[in-house]
Amino acid sequence: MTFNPSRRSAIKLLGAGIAGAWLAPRTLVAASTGSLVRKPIPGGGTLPVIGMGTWQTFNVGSDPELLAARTDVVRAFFEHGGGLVDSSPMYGSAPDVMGHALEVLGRPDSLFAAEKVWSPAGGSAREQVDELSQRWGIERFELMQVHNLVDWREHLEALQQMKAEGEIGHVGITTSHGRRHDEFERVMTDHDLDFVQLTYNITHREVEERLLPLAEEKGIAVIANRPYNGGRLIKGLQRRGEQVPEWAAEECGCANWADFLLKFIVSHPAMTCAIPATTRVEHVVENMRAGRKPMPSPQARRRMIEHIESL
Amino acid sequence: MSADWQSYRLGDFVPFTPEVYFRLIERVNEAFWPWQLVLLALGLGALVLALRGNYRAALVVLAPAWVVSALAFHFDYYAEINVAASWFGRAFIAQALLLVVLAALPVRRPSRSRPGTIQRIAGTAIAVIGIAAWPLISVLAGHGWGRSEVFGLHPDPIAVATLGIVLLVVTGLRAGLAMAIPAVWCLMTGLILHALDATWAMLPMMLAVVAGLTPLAGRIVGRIGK
Repeated sequence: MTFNPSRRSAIKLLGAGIAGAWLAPRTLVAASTGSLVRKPIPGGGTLPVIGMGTWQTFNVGSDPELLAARTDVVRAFFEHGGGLVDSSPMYGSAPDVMGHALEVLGRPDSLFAAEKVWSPAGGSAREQVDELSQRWGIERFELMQVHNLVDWREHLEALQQMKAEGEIGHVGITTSHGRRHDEFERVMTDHDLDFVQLTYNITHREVEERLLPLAEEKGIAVIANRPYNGGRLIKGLQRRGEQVPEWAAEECGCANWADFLLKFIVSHPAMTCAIPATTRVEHVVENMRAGRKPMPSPQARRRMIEHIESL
Repeated sequence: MSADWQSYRLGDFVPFTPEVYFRLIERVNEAFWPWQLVLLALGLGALVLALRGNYRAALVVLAPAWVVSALAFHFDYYAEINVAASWFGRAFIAQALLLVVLAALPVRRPSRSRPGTIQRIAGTAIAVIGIAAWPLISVLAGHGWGRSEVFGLHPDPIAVATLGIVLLVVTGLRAGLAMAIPAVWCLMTGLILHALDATWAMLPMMLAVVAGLTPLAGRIVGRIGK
């Protein structure tokens, strides 16, 4: 079979291709974000409850194959209504890889760029923010956090100043793995914060006791890192061949373990968003699906905990 | 604070995924092919010189392999994904200089500085593993030839091979000095490979332990023999 297109038919094909390429992602977004849950953040506005982390997954250096693969992940994230992307100077080349993806894709309107200042990276908070802006290829971060409370007094003061001058959108602090919660609580109590980032998942719920109620009381937005406990939680369930219980599918639309684990996190009233990290487009799609309604009720959340503890 | 440290796991110190690390090995191979063949010949040459008892030449031939690995692997590629890589590269350059210095130092009592039988057997085995067998690990693990680690280019085989060759040609304090950096690297790379779920993670650590204990074993056997 041969194909000899005339000039007119070639132009038509080209036009159809361009229109298809322009329409396809937008159609996809419309189709997949209809019921994506959003939560309010300080200063007005809302965020989708599923964001994206970049620890380990986005540190790919200059590998062209992996840069293209991560760009696909970022594309899928935004096509499915994603907003917050979180990185850190501690994550190696991850900020540069985000910069590459945004250069290829253009900056999506929904991007809520979250970064961190981290003393070992060197330089003052202001210098680090400037350098990270260049690495991401963006002019302004919506959120700048003090990484793991390292030198938090000095950095927080500088970041508050930058926020007041309009150079960054919001200010926050982070911790992970349940570390330094007493000090974290004191900073939350004594300082004016927009966001806190901490570890919260169905097997690590220590923050439910003091930090999440405090965040709710003070109107601080909360980001949950390590939603799959560094991947071990979901991989363990999948490896053992555990099935998502039927009642979870019926009551809160849990089709798989990603739904089950992420819906549990983001349905906590104090929680603003979870930031799973992944290297695969199909996992991005799964993660984003978990941000849609229905969400588990308080009763269903208790049942979810009991179920995981029974396994 | 102690509770904080208990919350850390090995994987928390490895800022990349297995996919990224093994792609890095592959990219280094692609970038330097076919120099791997030259470096392999260099490694085999060092082993032959060591087996013939030409310790100065054996140590000097090892030195450029450490420099190449520092420049090609650590500074050029690994530094992109690991902030510690530039320090690893510096340590590799220091090891190259140390080997040259040790080769240049005079030997006062040659008869006492000759390795015993146990040291020679263990040294030969470890050097052969580092030079000839290491590229096969990737193939046996199902990663193919593209991700094979090669003496002189990738750090693990040169560290292992150096442990073996040092055992073959040097004893006492000089051996301890020459084996320090390779042994530390073998322990560290074993931990990183373990965090990356590599099936051969224990191998470099075991070889470092064997290399470290061999002179002691040789001394014990020697005393029993007397």
